[in-house]
Amino acid sequence: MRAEEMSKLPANPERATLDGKNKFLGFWFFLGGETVLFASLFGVYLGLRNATNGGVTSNELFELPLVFIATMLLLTSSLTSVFATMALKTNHFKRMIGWFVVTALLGLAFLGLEIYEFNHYVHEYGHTMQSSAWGSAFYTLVGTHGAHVTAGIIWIALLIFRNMRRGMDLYTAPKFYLFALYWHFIDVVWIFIFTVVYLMGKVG
Amino acid sequence: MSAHAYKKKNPIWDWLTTVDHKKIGILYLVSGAFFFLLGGLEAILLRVQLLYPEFDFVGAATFNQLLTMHGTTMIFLAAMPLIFGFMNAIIPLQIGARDVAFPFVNSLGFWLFSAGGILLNLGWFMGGAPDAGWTGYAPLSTTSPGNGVDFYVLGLQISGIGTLIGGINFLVTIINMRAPGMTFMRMPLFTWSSFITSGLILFAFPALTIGLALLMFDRLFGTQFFAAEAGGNPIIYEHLFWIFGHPEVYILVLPVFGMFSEIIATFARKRLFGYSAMVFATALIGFLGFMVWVHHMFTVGLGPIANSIFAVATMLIAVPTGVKIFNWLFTMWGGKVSFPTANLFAVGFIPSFVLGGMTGVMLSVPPADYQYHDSYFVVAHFHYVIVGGVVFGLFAGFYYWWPKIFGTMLNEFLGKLHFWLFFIGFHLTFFPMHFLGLMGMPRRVYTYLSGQSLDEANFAASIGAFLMGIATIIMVWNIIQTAIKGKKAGNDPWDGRTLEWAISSPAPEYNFAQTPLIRGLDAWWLEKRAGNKGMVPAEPLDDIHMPDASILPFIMSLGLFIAGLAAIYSMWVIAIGGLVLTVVGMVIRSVIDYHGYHIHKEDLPAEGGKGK
Amino acid sequence: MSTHESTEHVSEHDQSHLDIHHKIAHEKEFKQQIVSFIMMIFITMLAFVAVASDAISDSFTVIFIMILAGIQLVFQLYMFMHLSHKGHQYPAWGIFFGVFVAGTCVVALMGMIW
Ligand code: HEM
Ligand SMILES: [Cu+2]
Repeated sequence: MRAEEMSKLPANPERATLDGKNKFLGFWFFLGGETVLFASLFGVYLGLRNATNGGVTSNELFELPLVFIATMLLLTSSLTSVFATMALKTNHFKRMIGWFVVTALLGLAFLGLEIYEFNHYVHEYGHTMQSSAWGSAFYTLVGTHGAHVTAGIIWIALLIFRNMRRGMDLYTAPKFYLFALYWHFIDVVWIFIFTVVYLMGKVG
Repeated sequence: MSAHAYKKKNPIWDWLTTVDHKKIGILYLVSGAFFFLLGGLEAILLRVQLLYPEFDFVGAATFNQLLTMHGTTMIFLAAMPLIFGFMNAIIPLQIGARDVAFPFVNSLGFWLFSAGGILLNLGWFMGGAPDAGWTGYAPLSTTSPGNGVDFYVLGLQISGIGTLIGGINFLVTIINMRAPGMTFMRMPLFTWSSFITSGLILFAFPALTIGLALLMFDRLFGTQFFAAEAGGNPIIYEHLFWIFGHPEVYILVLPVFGMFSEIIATFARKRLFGYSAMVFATALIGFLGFMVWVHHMFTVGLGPIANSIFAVATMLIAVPTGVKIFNWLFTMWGGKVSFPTANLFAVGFIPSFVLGGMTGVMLSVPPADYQYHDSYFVVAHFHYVIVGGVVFGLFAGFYYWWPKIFGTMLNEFLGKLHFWLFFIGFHLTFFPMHFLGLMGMPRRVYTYLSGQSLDEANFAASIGAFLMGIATIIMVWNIIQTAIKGKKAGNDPWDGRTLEWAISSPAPEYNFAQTPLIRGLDAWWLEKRAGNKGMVPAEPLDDIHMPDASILPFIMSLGLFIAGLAAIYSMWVIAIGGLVLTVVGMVIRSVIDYHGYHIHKEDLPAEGGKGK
Repeated sequence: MSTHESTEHVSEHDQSHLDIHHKIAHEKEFKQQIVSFIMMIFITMLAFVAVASDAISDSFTVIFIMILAGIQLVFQLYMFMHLSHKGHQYPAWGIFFGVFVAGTCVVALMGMIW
């Protein structure tokens, strides 16, 4: 069965089977739920963003160049994962893998920056999860996003590792497609993090 | 690969690994029933404590634990799984599907729920159960000594994840798995209302997830979210809880509205009055359900503007609810109504729920609510809607669908006895509470003084509770009797209208040997009127694809259970070990291909008749 | 970059099933994605510049960068996540109801506390 599928994939291989359709829809709904999850954290953050408990403030803490670089990394990774989905839809397996590898590497670089940043805040400024309600909200929101990035990198690594040899078919296509959706979603969340947390934190 | 379908299975292993929605439904029903009995026992103990003024039965500390565990258990561990049980057992049959969209996820949802439920209850044996109320308001919950509240936080978190993925599963199942001809506007109302409920679960539970996570951080990691002295804000927790909490009450009540719609139509032998109005009202209630949560916080002091907006939104919900009530009445109007137990509960529900709705509208007026809030009046209100609505609905559904799920008939005499005792006990318990509240008795207190005109009503309430206890014991007795020597049920004992009654009781593993063609609303009723013995098939007889059973959901849930329990005691190495177990389960699931197996058409019994 | 090589090394067999329409559509999409990406980079820079420079007032800056974030959201959803494509009506429901609930959450937690 698989051999036939290989030679010719339908236009949207990620939703060509019932299984694929189910996964596709289920994952979108999951992202709808994640939207509320992150919104709750954003709300908490906005409610507590001035609760510095006499400690360091966001204006003193944040450095825009760092955030800008992180943003560029993640935005670019969103583009590379679009390239990967386009390769997926046109049945270019190797090209797809290549773009996903780039995506994951960009994600890793982003994570590295974030770890550096957190470390810096804790050790240079004493800004921790316990130091103020704002600190609690900051690390929880940004950290939850970082955890999503981490999970995404592990996920795509696993997918690539597992499916490297078997190529594209109607069973693997949905798996890769869902990852791409997830990755874009993470990027959307980051857009609001850099806007609401960092940029607004600089404005006052 | 198909050979393994016929291998004789060890029954315990089979139940641990099953991905069959009908078996998962039974698992949900059984565990829900267990927790219902447990929560009921807790309620009886509460009412014994309140039997007399200044009575000393359990004392204040235990009372608080019983109170918290009663509410938490009933909402999260009894009502939710019982509803999920019916959704699992019935929805695929009603839409003509062989299975749910994600059988594996379905099983994972169940095991996560039970892991969370057990964890939550372990508090009883490990130094004290949670005692900060089912709402877990901070700072009471963040400062509650001991580990009790940690069990609440982690237990609910784990079972909440199970509920969330269950909700996604049903959304996708209903959208993607309907049989040919089963358009949205031909779906039975139970399926419709479960669909809306699943949507509410998807969008409401994440708020609870965050609320609980922040509570956990405050308690275990020393964060300051709700600590006012460090700039934290406990109101945030209230918002998060009720952004989830109000939709939650509709999550509970909408599916039973759907059950009533079908039961009332079946036993009136008429099609449901105003089908499309019912669908629309359900959707509207679901939507409005997200815009009213502040009515639980009128007395917080959010200001007159916020209170007014949410008061109006709350009153609005009464409109679609009223539409539903009238539709049920008009369905019975002019019908040939019969009253087996299922319909007794359905008809008994109507006046009971209307009373709860009326007190709801009273509560939605903020100045009045300043008087009612946190008094027994609120206790009366929500029990009228939850017991008079949800529990009556679950009982009705239980008597109605028991034959389809288990293939036997419950004893009708015992059933009616159950209904009458429960109905009388219910009103005896909760009606006087309205007056207790109006006379100023606060809720969540372990005792009261004599000589304040509170004695009689409290005494009556306790007697009513005992009656409900007896009624429940009668139901259990009925179940035992039926399990031992119940009479076999036919395919269609109630002369039903919807698809599940077209196949054998219980349904075969694959539900439909051939996917049926749906030709209208009340699909099975239409075929019967047309003189057909079964549904018209929409496909030729062919091999049937079945999903693989798996132990991974159990193992993954066990991992989270271990992680949760260890986290409560700050044993981080073990906690991480538990998480790793869960992640390894996920990885295995992702890396190994599951292709399922086939039941060959030659092995199907002739004529779509008895499964095995 | 290794990915570039693989672009060139696509076998003819792989390509063979792509009829000409498919190919044109594909190239069009490729261009659109590049344009969206450039727009997003531009918008991002605009937001950073708006904050870094003192030219605009604070309250206006906040509104301005929130609008920019909203535009980026639309780009991500409709371009990168293909929400405009056929067969996305249920996903659109899911996301937009999520956004609606998300909006109420944020308003409540930000504005309705004391
Ligand atoms: C006509 C529809 C309804 C209206 C107008 C309404 C209104 C209200 C209001 C204003 C309160 C807050 C009272 C207070 O704490 O001072 C309340 C509490 C409550 N309602 Fe309703 N309600 C309605 C239907 C329902 C339904 C259908 C359910 C459940 C199935 C429900 C369950 C609850 C619960 C559990 C509480 C108390 C929560 C707690 O504080 O522990 N209500 N209701
Ligand atoms: Cu409410």
